[in-house]
This record gives sequence, structure tokens and C-alpha cells, in this order.
Amino acid sequence: MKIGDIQKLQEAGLISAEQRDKIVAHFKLTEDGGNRFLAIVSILGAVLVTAGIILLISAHWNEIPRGVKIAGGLLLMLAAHGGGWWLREVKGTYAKTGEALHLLGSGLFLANIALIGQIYNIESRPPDAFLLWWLGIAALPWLLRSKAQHALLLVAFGVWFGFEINQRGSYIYCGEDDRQLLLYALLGLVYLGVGYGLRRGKFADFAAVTEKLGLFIFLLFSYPLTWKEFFGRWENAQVGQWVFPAFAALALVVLLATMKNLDGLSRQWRWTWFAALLGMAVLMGSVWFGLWQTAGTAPHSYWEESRSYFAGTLALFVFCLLQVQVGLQERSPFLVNLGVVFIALVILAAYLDLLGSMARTGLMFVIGGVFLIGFGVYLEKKRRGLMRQMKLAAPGAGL
Amino acid sequence: MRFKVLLLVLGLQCVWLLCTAFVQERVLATGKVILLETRPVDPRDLLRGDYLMLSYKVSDVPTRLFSPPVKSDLASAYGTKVFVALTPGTNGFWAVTRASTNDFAGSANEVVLRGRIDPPRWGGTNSVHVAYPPAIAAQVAGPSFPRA
Repeated sequence: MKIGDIQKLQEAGLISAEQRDKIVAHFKLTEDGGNRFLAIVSILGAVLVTAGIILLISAHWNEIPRGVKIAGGLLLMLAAHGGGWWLREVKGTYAKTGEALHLLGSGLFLANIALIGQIYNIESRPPDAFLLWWLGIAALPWLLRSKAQHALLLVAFGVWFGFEINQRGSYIYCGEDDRQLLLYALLGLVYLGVGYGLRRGKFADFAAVTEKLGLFIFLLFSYPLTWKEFFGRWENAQVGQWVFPAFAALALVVLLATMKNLDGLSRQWRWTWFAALLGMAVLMGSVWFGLWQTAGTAPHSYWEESRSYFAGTLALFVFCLLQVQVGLQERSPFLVNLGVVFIALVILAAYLDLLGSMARTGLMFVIGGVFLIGFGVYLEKKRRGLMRQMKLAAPGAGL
Repeated sequence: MRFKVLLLVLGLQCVWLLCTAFVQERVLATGKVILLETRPVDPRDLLRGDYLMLSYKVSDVPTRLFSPPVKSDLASAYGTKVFVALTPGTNGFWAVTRASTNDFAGSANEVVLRGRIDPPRWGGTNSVHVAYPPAIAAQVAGPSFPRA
């Protein structure tokens, strides 16, 4: 809200001068223009100074003594946390800036691990560096009561998980194999279940971010199930076949144990939602074990097709529809919006799978473009309708 | 209380970083320096164009130097620990004289590096590609040329 708009309302006779002053005082509005210009100039100046310092350091990196580099890294990390604590806890103002500084401090711990590795040429297992990072910041979300730190912790674990999966010799090695994406999708399900579990208890504030990230990761890595030329190169002899069933069991047990915390859903809908998640896990399991491979073809050929995309497209479409319904009942705009976005993506994938080979002709480009524009407009109208419906049903939205 | 625990966590982060640095500095101060010859490999890349990637000559150990002989099916030996003995050559660079999958003590003029068999990136089947994690090698001999 700008002070100029309030002024225009008064000039139009819609509000009195007294009301204008009250609105301006209530929202603590200040004159437009000057502050914004100052902010832009300040940001540009800060970017230039930062870039200059970085260039200066990088140009003389080899000449800087090792001790100075390490001390500099540690001081930066401690200063970031110190500044964050001072802003949030001592001064009590600029809480978001303080949280951002803490986040920077946690990131700098990883940077310091990398710095030590670079200085001494330590090239041991890369996943261990991320595991160390994760362990080092594990207590910070609780200590700082910070949702951003919690999100970073989840991301850190995901990064470690990804590196561990691709580390040759790891117990959960699944490198050079498309199917590793299925494991990331399962990690998303674990996060989702953990998020449901956090809804009741001391850490309820962290529930929403865990659920959102979990569901997003799950959908993101389930999406390749809808691609035609994916999961074809499926069999890497070094991959332990037990990995997927073990992770799937873990995810489903966590979900089953925490599903009761979905207060916005009736018992029937809770089971329907669990059945949808279970169904997706079963489908992913069938892809993991290669049940959709076309018979009579060499399993090791590079671009071998898998028929799983038929089932994957249909399953993800139905899942997203259910997710939208669950979102409406849970009064969660995030669930609804994410569901609608992935419905659009699933239809796009199906369109490309079915008609993609014909898209070389000009006519197919025109038809495809018109279809996509029309479909996009329809979907956006539908989404806005759902949002209105949710707001009318209950003014206080959920997640 | 929270502030004290936060200080403890940050302290532990710093302690780990400083301890790692201390261990490596100690190796640099007390370790034996060996000179390893490098060689360029795969100097062209579709994305990066002409560039230089270096490997140590001692990273590819001829199979004839192994005692007992290594398995003919090298793929099944990936990840196996190997011990490689180096001696100084006439040109100042250290070279492989013998290797084994069993640990052994080197003679007075030898340095034994510990590594593991890795999938070959380049080269033929007459040699075994050995990866030497510098942190492990440093326990035996110290990194050859620590660069910052």
C-alpha cells in the first residue's frame, strides 16, 4: 500500500483527511520515492563492493597464508551467527535479517569444510563432507527456533542423500541408474510423514515447511515417471535391489504412524490419501524392479523404452486430483496450487509423449501452441475458482 | 540456556575445523616429501574445449608389478585396498617398483602408499588404476605438494 494511493482516495472523496491520516499512521506509511531510490543505490553499491572484495581475494588467493584463510572463514561464520543473534534476540528488531544471517552462518560452515578440504587437498568421500555439515547444523533449528534453518537442514540431508547414492561403494549406491530418482521421491514421502508427525508437539511450527518440501520433492522426482524415454536404462548390476523396498517401507511406516494428525480430513479421506501415497509407492516399486520393460528387448541398451510412462502419467494425474481435494479440505492453498501445477505438467508430458514425434511439422507446432494456451487459461481459471472456494469455506487458511 | 547451547554447537563446529587443520599441518611439518610426476590425460572436451587434466603416473600401476597377481576380472576388484611401493628415480621423481593387495613394509628407500582400485578412466588392461586419497596417503608419507 502506497501513501500516494491513500492520497488519491482522499482526493476522490472516498475518505476524509482524518481517515487518511489514520490509515497512514496505522500502516506506518512513508513518502514514496526517496527511500526506494536510496535502497536501490545501496544494494547496487553493496553488490559492487562485495564483487570487488571477492575479486581481490581470488586474485591473491595463493599468496594468502593458510592460517589467515582459515581464521577468516571462522570469523565470518561466527560473525554471521553473532550478528543474527544480536538482531533477533538482543535487539529484537529485524528478525528476518537476523534469521538470514544465521542461515548464512550455517552455509559458511559448509564453505569452511570445503575450504579446509581445498587447502589440504583432502579428497575423501564427498558425501561425508555433507554429512558433517548436516550434523553440525542439526541442532540449530531448535536452538534458533528458525523455520529457515529447518528447511536448510532438510535440504542438507537431501544433498547428503544424493551424494551418498552416487558414491561408488556406498551401501545405498544407485549411481548411473535412472532409478535413483525414485529414491529421492521416497525421501520426499519420508519428509511428508515427518511433517505430519511434527504437527502435534513442541515443533509444530516446523511441520508446514517439512510437509511442503516433502510433497514438492515427491512430486518433482515422481514426474519423470511420465516421460517416455526414461527408466529405460534401468539395470545397474551394482545397485542393491533391497534399497527401494527398504526406503519405501520406512516412508510408508512413517506416513501410517503420523497420518492421524491430519485434522482437516475425515477418517475416510485420511485413508484415501494414504492409499494414494501407497499406490504411488507401489507403482514406483514396479518401475524399480523393471516390471514395465518391453519383453524381448535387451535390458542394457541405452535408450531402451519402458512402458511405465503410461501408468505413470495416469497415476500422477489421479494423485494430483486427489491432492487438490485434500488441499481443499485441509484449507491449504499450497496443496491446491502445487496439485494444479503438476496436473498441467502431467498433461504437457502426456502431450509430448503422444504427439511429440509429430511436432516436427509446422502444423503440429501451431496446434500444440493453441492447445497449450487454451489449456493454460482453463487451468488458471479453475485454480482461481478453487482458491475462492477455499476462502469462502473458511477465512483462516491452513498451510 | 539456549545461547550457551548455541555457543557449544558453534564451538564444536570450530573445534572440528581447527582440529582437521591441525592434523594436516602436523603432517605437513613432519611428513616426508616425495616428488610425483604428472601426465596429461584426455586433453579435449566437447563442452570445455582444450584444457588440461593431470593424473599422477603412479595412478596407473602395471599389473606385472603386483605380487601376488591381481584378479583377471578387475571389475570385481574395484574398491580393493592396494599398497604401492615407490622409490626415487634418477630424474628425482618417485616411481612404482612393486605393489600388492596385502600390506607390506617398505625397505629403507621405499615409501608405501595406500590406495584403492578404481575403474579405469583411460588406458588399457595391462594396468590397474589406483586412487590415492591424499588424506590416507598422508598418513604414510605426507602429501607431495600441498597447495593452498
